[in-house]
Amino acid sequence: MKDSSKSIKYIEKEKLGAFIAELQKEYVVIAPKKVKEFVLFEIIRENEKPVLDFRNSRQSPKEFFFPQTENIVEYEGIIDKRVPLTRDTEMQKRIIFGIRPCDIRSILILDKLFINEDYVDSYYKRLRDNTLLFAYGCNEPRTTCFCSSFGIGPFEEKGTDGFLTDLGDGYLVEGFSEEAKKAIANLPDAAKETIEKKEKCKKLSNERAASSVPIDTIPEKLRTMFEHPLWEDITERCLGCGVCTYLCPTCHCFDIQDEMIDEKGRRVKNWDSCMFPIFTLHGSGHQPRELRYQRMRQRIMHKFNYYDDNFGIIACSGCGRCVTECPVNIDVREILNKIKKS
Amino acid sequence: MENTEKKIREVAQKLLKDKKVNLVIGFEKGTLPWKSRPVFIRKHEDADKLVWNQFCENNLAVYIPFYKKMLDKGNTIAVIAKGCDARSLILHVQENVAKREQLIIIGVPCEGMLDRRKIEKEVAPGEITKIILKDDSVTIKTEKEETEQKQSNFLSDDCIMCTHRKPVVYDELIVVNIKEPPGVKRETILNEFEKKDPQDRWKYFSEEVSRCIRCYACRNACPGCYCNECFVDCSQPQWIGTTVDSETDLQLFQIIRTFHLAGRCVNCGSCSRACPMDIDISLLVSKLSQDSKQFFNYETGLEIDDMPMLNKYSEDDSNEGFFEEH
Repeated sequence: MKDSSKSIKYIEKEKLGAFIAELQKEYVVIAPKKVKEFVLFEIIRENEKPVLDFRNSRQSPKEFFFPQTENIVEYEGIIDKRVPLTRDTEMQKRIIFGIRPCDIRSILILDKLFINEDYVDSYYKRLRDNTLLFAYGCNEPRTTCFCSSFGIGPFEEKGTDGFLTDLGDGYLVEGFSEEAKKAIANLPDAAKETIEKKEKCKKLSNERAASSVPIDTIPEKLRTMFEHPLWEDITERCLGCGVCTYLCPTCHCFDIQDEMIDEKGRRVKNWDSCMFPIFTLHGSGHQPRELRYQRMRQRIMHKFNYYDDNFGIIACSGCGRCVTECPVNIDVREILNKIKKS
Repeated sequence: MENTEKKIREVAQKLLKDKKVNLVIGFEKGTLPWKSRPVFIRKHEDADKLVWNQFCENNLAVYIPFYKKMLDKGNTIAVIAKGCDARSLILHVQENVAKREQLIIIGVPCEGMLDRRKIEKEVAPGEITKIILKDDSVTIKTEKEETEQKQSNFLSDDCIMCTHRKPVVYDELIVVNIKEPPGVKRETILNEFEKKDPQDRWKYFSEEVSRCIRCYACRNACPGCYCNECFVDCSQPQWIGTTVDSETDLQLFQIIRTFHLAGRCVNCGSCSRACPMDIDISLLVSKLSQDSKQFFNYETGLEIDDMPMLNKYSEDDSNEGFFEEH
């Protein structure tokens, strides 16, 4: 059966480098790279090959749309005579290659906030508009993955421009959007057996990723739980660091700072974390969420209730990063199960 | 290990039952194969939750400053303490976070904790599904394979360099025979690094620190970092920039944090373990501990009546590094 809405190509593993080099003629290629013993998404330099034998990257590629530090405006001159410097709005097109489906879902979640009918964040939109997303199916989901809780799976295609599947000797490369089809046009067409092989991978992986957290009633349940002993109970071991929020692919709170050195200055947007004691600290010294459990409550409520209320989607994609990296093993899956039971 | 666990539970249970303490901080089984996690026990019947194994890696003294109000009311807290935890607790007493009599230190001699990153590396890209610890072996199961190795292959770097496995100051000591893991002296590791050119050392440090995402997990996991307002959070005046695109600010954060720990660090390795970007923070603080020992013959948290290193002055103190003319 031929599906004309997409193009299906195949590339042998040893030819990946050449393909990336081809893409680099037109695009900045962002792909997984090995850093010490883990993997991060970075810009691939010339003659560099992405690392594709990974489960998931330590941090998601969120920073390519919502950078941890981003200049909003730069200016120079003395007080009262400040001149804003013009921003470069042109940018080279980018491809994020090898992004996992959970991280694609997270970008779709962020889209609702940064690009909606009331407000468009031009910084985010510019980066989003100029980036193609080539997803990478998870043949072997991590033991801490729970994406299937959110109606997606290790081979979810929604939101992608193209899709990559590891078939052992090579990759099946699918193009969905017109631009993605164009980008892979020079690759040879995939044989029928190869396409069938992908379907097998997908089926196998979907079965593996069956472990999930029952999420359906959580947003409604939380509505009545603002005052609840659960919050103090789950917070007692929390150290109040920013690991969970800074590794989270959907957390999006930020702080704005002015920096001035001599006569040059900038207004800059930095990631912020609701787990920090100075998060939303008022100028008066008043702290609306003074206690650790109130901050924990904010994080869980924001993800699983407020965001759902505001945008109709839960702000979690089940990537499991907060689960594996929390220094004291605060496990959001366990928290969700507790909410469900309480 | 099981024997140790049983003894810990008995001691905790008795303390709670006799109302000697209001809270016991220890470890319980975590949700991940490589993790035992902090637990807070208030009822004697819950003491059976307590576990003891080589994944009890957190320094539990880190929680004491959170209970300042509770301590001010005269409550008492018991802590299941490895050598390093106990030293940090002594630091807290010396710095007036808690009164000595309000802390019941349940000392547990420690064989060193296992580094989950080392275990992960061993089986990568496989995924750890189960870990079984028995005697001095560790069996690591992944979805497809199983491998059995010596625990000592995976000892955390800081535990390899540990100088005080048995708590020095304690109220209750869990008496167990521990096997001394193969230790490497701190000097040996540092000397290796110090042989490099200054440029290479700086390159290593700045590359490590360039990955910092300022989540402050190192700071928050550290029992010595409990300032009401950390210098990085202070906005009036602002001591340090908050961005991650300034290498200087990232370096400054690590360097100043390290100096704040001079004579206060117990080399528990919590900072490095907590770091989600695998930054080798231990190396810096390790050097500082070596200097404390070398110049002031001082080790943190060994004597209850002693003052922290930088709080006291002696005419015999080394002047090396001070006001040197060039």
